Amino acid sequence: MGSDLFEISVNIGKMLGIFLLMVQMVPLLVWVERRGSAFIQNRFGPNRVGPLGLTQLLADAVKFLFKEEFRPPASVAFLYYAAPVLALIPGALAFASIPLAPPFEVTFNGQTYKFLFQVFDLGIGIVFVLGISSLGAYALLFAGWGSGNKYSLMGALRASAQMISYELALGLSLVGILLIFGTFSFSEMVEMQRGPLSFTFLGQPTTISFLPNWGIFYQPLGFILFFAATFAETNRAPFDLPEAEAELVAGYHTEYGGLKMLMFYIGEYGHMMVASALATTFYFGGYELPFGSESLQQSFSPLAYSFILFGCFLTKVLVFLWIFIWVRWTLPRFRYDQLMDLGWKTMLPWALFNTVLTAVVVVLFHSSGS
Amino acid sequence: MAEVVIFYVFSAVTLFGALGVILHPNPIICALHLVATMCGIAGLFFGLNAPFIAAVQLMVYAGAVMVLFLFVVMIFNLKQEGKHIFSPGQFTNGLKVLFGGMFAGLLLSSILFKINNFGYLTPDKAAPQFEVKNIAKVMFTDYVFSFEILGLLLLVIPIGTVALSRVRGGTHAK
Amino acid sequence: MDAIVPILVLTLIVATFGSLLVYVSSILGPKKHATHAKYMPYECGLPGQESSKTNVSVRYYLTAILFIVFDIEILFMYPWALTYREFVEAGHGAYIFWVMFVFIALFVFGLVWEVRSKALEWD
Repeated sequence: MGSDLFEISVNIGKMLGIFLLMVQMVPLLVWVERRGSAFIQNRFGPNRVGPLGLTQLLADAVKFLFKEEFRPPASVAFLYYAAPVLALIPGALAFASIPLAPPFEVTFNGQTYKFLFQVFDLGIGIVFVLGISSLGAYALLFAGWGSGNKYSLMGALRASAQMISYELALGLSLVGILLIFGTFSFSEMVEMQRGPLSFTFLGQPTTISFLPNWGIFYQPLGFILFFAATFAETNRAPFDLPEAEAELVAGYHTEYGGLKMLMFYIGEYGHMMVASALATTFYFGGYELPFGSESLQQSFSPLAYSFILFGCFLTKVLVFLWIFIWVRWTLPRFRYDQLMDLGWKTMLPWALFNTVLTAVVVVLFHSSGS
Repeated sequence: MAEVVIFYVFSAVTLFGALGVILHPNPIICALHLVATMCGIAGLFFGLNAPFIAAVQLMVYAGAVMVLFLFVVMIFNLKQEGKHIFSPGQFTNGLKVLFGGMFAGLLLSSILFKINNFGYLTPDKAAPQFEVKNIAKVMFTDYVFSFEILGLLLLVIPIGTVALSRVRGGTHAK
Repeated sequence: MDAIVPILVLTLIVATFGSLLVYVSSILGPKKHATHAKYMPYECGLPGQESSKTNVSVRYYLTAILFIVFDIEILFMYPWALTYREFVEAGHGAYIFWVMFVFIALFVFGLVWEVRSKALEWD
């Protein structure tokens, strides 16, 4: 955590800040989702409360706070109350391990401290995030089994079966990225994506100056597989079978209301943010600017430069979040057998193909010259 | 100091979960206690400077094996009728205590034997950080044959499972 | 080792935040005497037909066990992918490729067998 009081307090402040950033994005995203869906479907959406309906969020929050507290007698009390709390934890931990900007240095009381722009750096980034997010299934199983309703249980079972099926395609699509970068650490990956596109082609160093050195140019198929799998992992449409209202009422959170319901939403949007941040880090250069980072770095102080890059990261994440919302209101839902077929019989073989192809290409590009 | 606190925190989680597994009457809650045990073991691996093993422990045991256990418990339709570990007035209670005590004594004596003969093992502070790359290099050069055999083993498991669970007739027949 | 302390602290913070939200909403909300109908498990307006503790399809079990096997195989690919470039740069590219190719061939064989045996069919 740190060696003295200043370092510890800054680290704790950073931790709270990053967690609150994740929680604070939720009302904004709900607003974007409602206005965006209205825009897509040629409606108005919430536009009464405040300018553009922006304070609708505040009104909703007050409403959620004053909802009646209710627990169905058929439920298991501990599981019923633990599930919404548990829904928050994997997303928060995973988001905390992603670097949002380069580390910065602060001088205080004549001492120089170096702070990471993330809560902790384990050096095994990818595996930690995969491990932590595999615990996400338990929040759903707690909720589904704990609320004593058969629709909840069915929704939870579907959700966990779907999550584990797509975790395979997700994990396998990342093998290609590991082959390219050769590291588990997020910050090292982002470092490697700096500057113009440059690689060794048949032993010759090649540079394409008008493209940034982003992972997407090495792993286009891997990116498509990864991004599709994250939709299933976050239970978003078109993979929102666990809450298919036509058959399951509202899936695993049928028996929830008020703030407890809201916490499941925070969990879902938190997973979306983690997925977007991961896609940005792996395939779109993380916090690195595509162009002109050298001149910016010289004209700003290191701390200000860190915050500019943080803004760049946030912009990329917001683009992905909009794509999540856009897809939800554009594509219809799958049927359950189609969903499982897509995961096991289409995406898994393609991810394997991507792995083998990447391995062959890496060998070919390196071997001929040197 | 910090590592001692971490060790005790995660040991407590592990033991609490393990006790819950054997003491709780409801099989599904037992399985959920086992999840806590797995997470505690992952934390202990973290404390031993092996974050990769810890994350793999989370992924495979807490994430995959325990979901399977939960599904299996639900398939067997074990209802909430409490089956306590010691049902009162049964002859087998004594046997349970006896065999449990024998197993605990075996474990304890093996640990004591190890301490007596080798002393307490202290971590080597100067040793390099646990590196996945070092494991990988050894695994894909010296132990490559075992690695491929492992692939074969992992092929046998699903084939066996599918063959066993394929039902001809009965409720799952088409 | 150093990173485990922030993980623990953050987990505590999030858990406290979550429990606080649950607690606050239980204080602020109105407390009404609920009727018998409200206490029943939610079902589309009709009295419940079957209990929630019904049997679960064996397909979930199959999916889970196949997931474990493939998950372990993928986890073995991670260290391989991590060191792949080092092997290639040391001139052992073909060796390390064929090591994993045999492994992936077994993986593919298993996957094809399961698809052919209709273990992955949902209906």
